[in-house]
Amino acid sequence: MNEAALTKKIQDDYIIPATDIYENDNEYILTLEMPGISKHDIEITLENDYLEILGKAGNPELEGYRVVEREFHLGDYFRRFQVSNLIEKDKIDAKIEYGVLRLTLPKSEQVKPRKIEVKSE
Amino acid sequence: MLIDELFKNLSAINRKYRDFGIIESKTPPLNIMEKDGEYVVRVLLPGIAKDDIEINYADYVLTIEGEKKCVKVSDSELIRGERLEGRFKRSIRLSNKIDPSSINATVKNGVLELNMKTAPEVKPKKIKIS
Repeated sequence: MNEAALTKKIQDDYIIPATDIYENDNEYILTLEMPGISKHDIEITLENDYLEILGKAGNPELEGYRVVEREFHLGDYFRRFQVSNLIEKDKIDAKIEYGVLRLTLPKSEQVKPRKIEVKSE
Repeated sequence: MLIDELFKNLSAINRKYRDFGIIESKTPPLNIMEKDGEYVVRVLLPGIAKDDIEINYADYVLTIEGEKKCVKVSDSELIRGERLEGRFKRSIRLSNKIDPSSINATVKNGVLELNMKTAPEVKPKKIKIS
């Protein structure tokens, strides 16, 4: 599947969580809004430079109920980020609280800013 | 169509807020479901702790409000911001057929759930002229 087709499939099949991304010298911090999702519903994979976050909502609808008003759908969440070699892949930390997933991605040494001393002659 | 009457003013209330232009992005979406006179209202409130949600009931209007604070990461730069923050408020006008003492609220994984029931119906009474 090409990139455009994959993007379309993701948009059709999943809810795309709203995400904030922070950066400092040592890490990237991502917060993703995934209401209805607990820690047991989350799968995070890192493969071929892509960080993928999947939140499986299961079947959150109430059975046998009649809909009076509907403004949102709960469902599976998905988001994918390209991370290449920017981060320490073994040190990703994830936690979820009140339906917001927080990912901490430590930067790899090669992209961390560093001071280069000028050697005197 | 008695049941739909219970929430008929819902859209009107939302429109009113939009007219004032203050709540547009600050009205969390909600779903209302019904089964055998029991109502379930679900409101999406991701990232909001239980203690930051205030629920009041007065004069048949149920109001859910509070403040959403996205965690700011200290000494870091926001390089992509999609999440909304700030005060939120949502009101639902309930019919007098709902028993306010039955309203119960729980929050789990960023979804607020309100449960409520219709009050037992008062039977019409025939009055004889003596």
